[in-house]
Amino acid sequence: MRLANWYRRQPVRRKIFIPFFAITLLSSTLFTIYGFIQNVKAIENEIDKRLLIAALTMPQLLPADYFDRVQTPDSIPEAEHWTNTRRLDTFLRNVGGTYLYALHKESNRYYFVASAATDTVYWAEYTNPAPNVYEVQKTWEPNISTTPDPDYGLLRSVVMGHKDSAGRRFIIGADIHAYEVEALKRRAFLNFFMMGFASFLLAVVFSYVASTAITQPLTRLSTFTRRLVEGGFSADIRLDAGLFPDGNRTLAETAILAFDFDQMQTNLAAHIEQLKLTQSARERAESELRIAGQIQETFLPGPFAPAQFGGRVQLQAAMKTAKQAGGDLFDYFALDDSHLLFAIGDVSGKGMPAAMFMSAAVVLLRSAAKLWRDPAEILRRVNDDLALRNESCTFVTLFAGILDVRTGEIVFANGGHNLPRLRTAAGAVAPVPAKTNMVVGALEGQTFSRETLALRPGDVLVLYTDGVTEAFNEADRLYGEERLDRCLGALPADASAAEILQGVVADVAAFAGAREQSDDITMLVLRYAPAGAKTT
Amino acid sequence: MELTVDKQTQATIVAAKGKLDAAGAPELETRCKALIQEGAGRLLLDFAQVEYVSSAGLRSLLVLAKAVKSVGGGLALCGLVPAVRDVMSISGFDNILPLAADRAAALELLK
Repeated sequence: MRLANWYRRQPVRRKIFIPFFAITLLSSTLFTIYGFIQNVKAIENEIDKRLLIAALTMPQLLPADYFDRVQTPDSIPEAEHWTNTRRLDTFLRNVGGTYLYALHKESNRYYFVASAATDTVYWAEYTNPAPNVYEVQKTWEPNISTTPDPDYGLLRSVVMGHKDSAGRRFIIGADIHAYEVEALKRRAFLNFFMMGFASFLLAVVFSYVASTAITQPLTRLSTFTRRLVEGGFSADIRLDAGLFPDGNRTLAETAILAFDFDQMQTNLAAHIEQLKLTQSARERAESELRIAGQIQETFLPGPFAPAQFGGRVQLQAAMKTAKQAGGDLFDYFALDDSHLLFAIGDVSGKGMPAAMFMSAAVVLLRSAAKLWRDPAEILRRVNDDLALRNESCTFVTLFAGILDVRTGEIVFANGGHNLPRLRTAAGAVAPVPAKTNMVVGALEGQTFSRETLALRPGDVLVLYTDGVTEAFNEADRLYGEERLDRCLGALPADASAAEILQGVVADVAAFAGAREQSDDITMLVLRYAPAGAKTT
Repeated sequence: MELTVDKQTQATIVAAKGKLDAAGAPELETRCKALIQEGAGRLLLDFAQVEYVSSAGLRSLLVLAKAVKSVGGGLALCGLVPAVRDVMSISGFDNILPLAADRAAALELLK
């Protein structure tokens, strides 16, 4: 289990190499052992055969009547004996044995009557015969055995009987030292071991080369992918000839993989290029939006001077633009010593078109206000000018009012804008009732109803855009008019215009929480305090 | 904004779902303009599942109203939820767009 897990974690090359290696190791070991055993048997057979041949051949190497002549210790002349000995010795050397001899038995004693040994004289006694010498006399058939000779050590030996023409039995023996046989076997073992080792080495080299050849494209691919990741997709896989043997797609899986990889890389590169384009387009759009926001701001009035109108009016306005400029507007300016024009509006749509439309609306409002003192007429003029050839149907909800600071009376017209909130000095909050009119700039020839409202000391008029009431929170809920009214009602009775504005903005922010502001939040708060009243 | 189009003989009914805001308005506008191009002169917008209409949404409605007018057709809305109805009345759009309680009433208005 553990081995299997270990194997699974290895690189492909090792995965291929390890089984290859194990199989070659096993097979070469088995073949060496098997071959050696077979060879040992062959060696033994070979030696036995030689010994037998030597023993059988020996009588032919001696004169034909030799054994007939062997009678007494003097019956063979010494010169003849040594001649025979030399012949037998030469023969034995060629055959590859240690001893070759003929024994004559007399009175249970054994005498060498012929021998290949150059130190054995004719009729030398064999004082301690090996056990097979006795054994052969039972059948006189060739006896092959490994026999311990008391004087010459352990021998592989063939002994057999030989009759002379008179029927006398001689014993012919051919021996080889067992240690010589062992030496042959050892040499054979060494040969086989060397051969096995060589074939093993060859197999290892082969499996190494094979596993490398198989995995090399994979290694190249993985190297390539790493380069790709590090180098940001600029590496070219086609430059790697090892992966594209013919510079093209082939049957080899790795080449297919490389080919597909190349395709994927091309697609990825195209994608990245596309992304970059999109990115730059978005950056351009964002910079346009920033410019749109700046345009919006340049058309807003500077801070209201508290000293204007003798401190009878407090006015505070603020605009908190969203990430995507929404085209809100507000404006205020003195028409004369006693009249203050104030307006708030919201252009439909967002971004650059809304900002441009907003600036046009502000300019038209200001110029119209110079000619007409009536908000309804001002809205009618602005509407007709904006609606002229307005193919995009962009419009602006616009509320414009003129306050007579001496009396607190307001004349206003509402072109489709949210109803402002009136908070009385007593703390009651309610929308300013007015007849609804069409939004400004959408359709030519609209008329706007002229409304009036009388402010009393301490009254607060709150104008706002839908960025306030339509602020979403994280639960996708709208801030809403009810909450706005509650917030206004909860603020202190003597709160200044600035404090009221801050209070509402803070409440909206608390409501929205982490939710991103989607629209401009714009407010204009006007607090009427007649002469002599507390101003700030 | 999810839009479901149902072409009937008296009018093409487009049921909208979601918010008709700066994101949703272009979807409605593009889809309906294509329908008008295909010959749907009489357009009935079912707003029963429209929870919110922003000024961008109003602008799109105005664009569509002008578009159907130019081909001699008509545009009507039905099923407005109270919040959306308020937006319509404050902006004065209820003066230029026929609003009906349900589809049947709206189809009557389009005749």
